[in-house]
Amino acid sequence: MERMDAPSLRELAADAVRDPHARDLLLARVRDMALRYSRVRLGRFGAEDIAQDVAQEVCMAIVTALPTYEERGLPFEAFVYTITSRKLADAQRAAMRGPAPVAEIPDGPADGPSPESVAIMRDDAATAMSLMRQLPPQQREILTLRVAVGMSTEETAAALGMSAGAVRVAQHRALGKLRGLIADAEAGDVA
Amino acid sequence: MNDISPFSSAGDVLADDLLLDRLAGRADVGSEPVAGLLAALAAHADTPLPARTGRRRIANKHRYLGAFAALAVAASGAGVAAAVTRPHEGSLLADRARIEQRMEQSARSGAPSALLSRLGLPATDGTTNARGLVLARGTDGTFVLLPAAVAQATTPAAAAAAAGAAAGGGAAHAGTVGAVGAPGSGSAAGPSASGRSVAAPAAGRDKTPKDKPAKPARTRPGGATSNGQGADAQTGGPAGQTGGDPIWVVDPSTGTTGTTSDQTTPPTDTTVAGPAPVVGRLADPANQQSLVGPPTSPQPGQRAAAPEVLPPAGPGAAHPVVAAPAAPATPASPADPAASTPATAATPATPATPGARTSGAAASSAAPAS
Repeated sequence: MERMDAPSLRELAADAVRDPHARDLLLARVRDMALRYSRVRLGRFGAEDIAQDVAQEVCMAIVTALPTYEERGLPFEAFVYTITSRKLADAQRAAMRGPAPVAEIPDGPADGPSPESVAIMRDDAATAMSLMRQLPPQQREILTLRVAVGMSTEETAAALGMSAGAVRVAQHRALGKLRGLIADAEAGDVA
Repeated sequence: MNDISPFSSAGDVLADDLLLDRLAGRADVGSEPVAGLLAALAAHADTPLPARTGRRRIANKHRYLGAFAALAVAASGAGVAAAVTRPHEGSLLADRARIEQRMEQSARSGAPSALLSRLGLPATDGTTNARGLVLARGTDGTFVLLPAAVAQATTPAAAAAAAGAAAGGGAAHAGTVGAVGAPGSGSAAGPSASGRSVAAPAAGRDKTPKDKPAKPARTRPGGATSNGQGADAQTGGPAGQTGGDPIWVVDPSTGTTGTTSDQTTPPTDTTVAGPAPVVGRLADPANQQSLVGPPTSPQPGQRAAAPEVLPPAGPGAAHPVVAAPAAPATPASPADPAASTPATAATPATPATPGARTSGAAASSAAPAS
């Protein structure tokens, strides 16, 4: 797999102090992680600019903390996750009182998905997030990191301070409960 | 199924772990419902969020401000004015047209519509339909209220007198009425009409002492109008010399005559012997003119003097004589011979008997036909 071939964040963080290329790769991956996590945490009616700002703030925090970063047994993803969650909380508080920037007008044709497919996708995502709100916070966070951020079981376990086995059991319970909620919802719609 | 039971196999846990790995890698996860929702969640995380609409935030931010503004507008004068139904403009135009029409009709009519009401005169059929009496000034300066027919009959003499007056200059007034004043009807006004022409007291002077104690002569300032203009007749003021613009009223019901002055001018006691109760106004001594006003209700504050009928002025009198109204307020000074003399105008040659004081109707009937 490609993810297995890529260097881990720990290795990139170790090389980022003296290797600018490794730092760029590290920041690119950190930004992706922070952006995905922010998008999911901000929900369906979140703003992309807020997610971008959060990712930018996380990258700056990482760059600032790299010279003094010390590995204490936890993976670097856990460090990124902690910074991202706190920056996201700050962004959510500031979003209610900050200005609303205007979206940029695209200069060319959009090559992304059609608006209809995007609407369907966001509706399904909203349903998934509404169902995940009924899960315990730990299980909800595991699914978020595993699905939205794309972390592996080990990375998620390291980020949350759990063992890999505990993460597997927790995600199994979370998926089982989601299946039950979906079945109940479909039964309610039929009834 | 939420909990891992002893019967749940490790394969299920691994299958879920593999499913989440595939979702994390953004690979195809099949058609399972939960996998589809999680795939949508992954796609949502990969897709930029829609731009935040400022209107939503503004609406949330100014929600209470908007409600307060709406409430303030509703409670303000503008809101009240907007809520009040404006009167229909057509009705206003119709009212205006109706008022203008009535004004035009009133203007075209011969009767001075608002004169009587303005002067506080009672408006009856007599006052509105009669041709009116004519005030004339006698040789002694007293004013005489004459029927219109009598005035017309005496026109030649008056015209001649007017011509003589014009030739004689300042004696014009006396000459004008000179024909009216019959021998014997002239009073002992004493001095010339200048300054006392209007101030001639009339009321009560035909009464004998045995009738009742003679009231002090109430003199009217010469030529004083209802608004108080004019100088005292006894002082020989300008208004008294010119005769002013007195207005005499004959109550149709009682036959009494009074002035048209308001409360500032006390009512006068005059003697009337006219055929019809009319309102006469001496607009110009040389151009005697009567005015007839529209019907108006009698004014509450108006006081009509008691009629005092004088016998014919004398054998040569061709018309009844009406004494000039008494002057108000200013009591006559005993030192003034003109004021102290009760009878100054239209005094008959013989003293009037007590029975001469009759009602208005009797006065009218007693008036000799002219």
